[in-house]
Amino acid sequence: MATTARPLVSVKALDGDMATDAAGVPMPHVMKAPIRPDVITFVHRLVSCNSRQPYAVSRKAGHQTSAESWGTGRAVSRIPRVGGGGTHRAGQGAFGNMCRGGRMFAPTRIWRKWHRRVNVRLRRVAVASALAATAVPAIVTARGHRIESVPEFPLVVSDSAEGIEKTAQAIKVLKQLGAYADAEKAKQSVGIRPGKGKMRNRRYINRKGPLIVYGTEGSKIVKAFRNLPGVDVANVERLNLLDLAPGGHLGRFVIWTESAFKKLDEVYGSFEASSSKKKGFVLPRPKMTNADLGRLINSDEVQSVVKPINKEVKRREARKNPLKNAAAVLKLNPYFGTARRMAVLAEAARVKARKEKINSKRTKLSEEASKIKAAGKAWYQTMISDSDYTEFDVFSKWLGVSQ
Amino acid sequence: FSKEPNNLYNVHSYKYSGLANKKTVTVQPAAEKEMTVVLSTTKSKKQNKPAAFTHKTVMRKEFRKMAKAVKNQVSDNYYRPDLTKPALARLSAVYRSLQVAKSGVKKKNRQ
Repeated sequence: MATTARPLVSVKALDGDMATDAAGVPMPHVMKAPIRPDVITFVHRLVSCNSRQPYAVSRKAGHQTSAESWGTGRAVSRIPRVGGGGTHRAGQGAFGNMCRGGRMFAPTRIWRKWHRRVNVRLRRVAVASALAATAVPAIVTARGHRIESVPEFPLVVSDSAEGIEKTAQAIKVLKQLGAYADAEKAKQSVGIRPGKGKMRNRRYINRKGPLIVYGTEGSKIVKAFRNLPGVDVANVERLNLLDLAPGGHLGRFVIWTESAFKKLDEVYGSFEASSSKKKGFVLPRPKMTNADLGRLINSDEVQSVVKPINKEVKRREARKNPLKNAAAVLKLNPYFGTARRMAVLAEAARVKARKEKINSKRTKLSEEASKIKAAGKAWYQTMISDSDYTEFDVFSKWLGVSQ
Repeated sequence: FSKEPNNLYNVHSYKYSGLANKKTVTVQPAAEKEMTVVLSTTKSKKQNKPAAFTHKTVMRKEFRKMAKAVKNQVSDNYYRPDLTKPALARLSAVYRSLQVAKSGVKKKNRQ
């Protein structure tokens, strides 16, 4: 697997730093580790179990009586009842989970398995993955951190930050870095926890702000930042998944000091070289070296073998009913055209032949006779449309004729 | 993810996501003056510098001119031509809300 070109991360100088011409620190290999939310949820869930304190019900609870069952024949149920007299308690049911003052069903025991073991390699892979996620601004925004004014990601600060002793100065530094919005969000989110946790010494909850990671042991930076709500501090050599992915959600906003950032390569190694601090640990390899689908699809290798785009849309032709549509029948039965034509011609011929036959059979009137007939018809017309009478309204009605 | 600021439709989907895409467009009402709108696009080369990540333009023009500006930036620049319609739709919605804010909510006369 080719070593990817490692971008340079510039180091943010704080006010009062001497101006350096430092080009920047190359990105440690951990930041290129594959981001595996599935591994992280798995490991986070198990690792969260490890700080649990056991709870259980008293061993004696419910059994501190000498109750005995009254047996049958006394018109009462058969559960053991407390003996003796002179008190409410006498004759009450005891020992059962259904009885008032009895032992619960399956009393909780302290030997319940509270902690979970996780493979060392899995734990380390999860942390590497979480670290990679902290370098992606989109993921960190998605987790809910306010990083709009942060100048660069990952955010690396010069080592003078490790010398900060006072919290007031710490706040000033956060403001310079554009990280104060996140810290302020955490501060304003302090509220009372809903639920019974309130009365179990977990009264207040708040959002998580930035995580400050420092490199040198014993830095004063810890004390400076520890009173800020939501802000956590950690040493590079001891990074905790529960801090890097709080709630199992990737992408905590991390602020690195320069020495911490440089140490990351030592602590986590690279994809080929194993880490010096974690024996035999090599960073996990991603399943795809290039997961950018857009680039893959548009690459020369793919485009050169891909079929050209087909922009013409072939639509289905509407089905025509052959029983109603002549063109549709013609498609199915080419003879239909000629058959139709012949039928039409035959019909015309038939009609003509019939007419002639009838005509020939009719008695023909002589010319004179037909003239007389025509005259008679004409006279009838004059009769029914006699104009003299139409002057009078009444008569035109009676005649039923309009002139 | 439907509430991030760079999401044009406020819809959880890859196309409209404000976080998953390198190039995003957004139209928001501007903070200070009334009737001003901010058109903001993200720069594809500054992905890891959140402070320098967006390119903001404050617009205080009449609607037609603003619409033309949005269209120029989003489609005629070949920036994200698939977001032209949503960007214009959002511009209309934002503008309308600003107008309402200015003139007060319509009182319904019910007698």
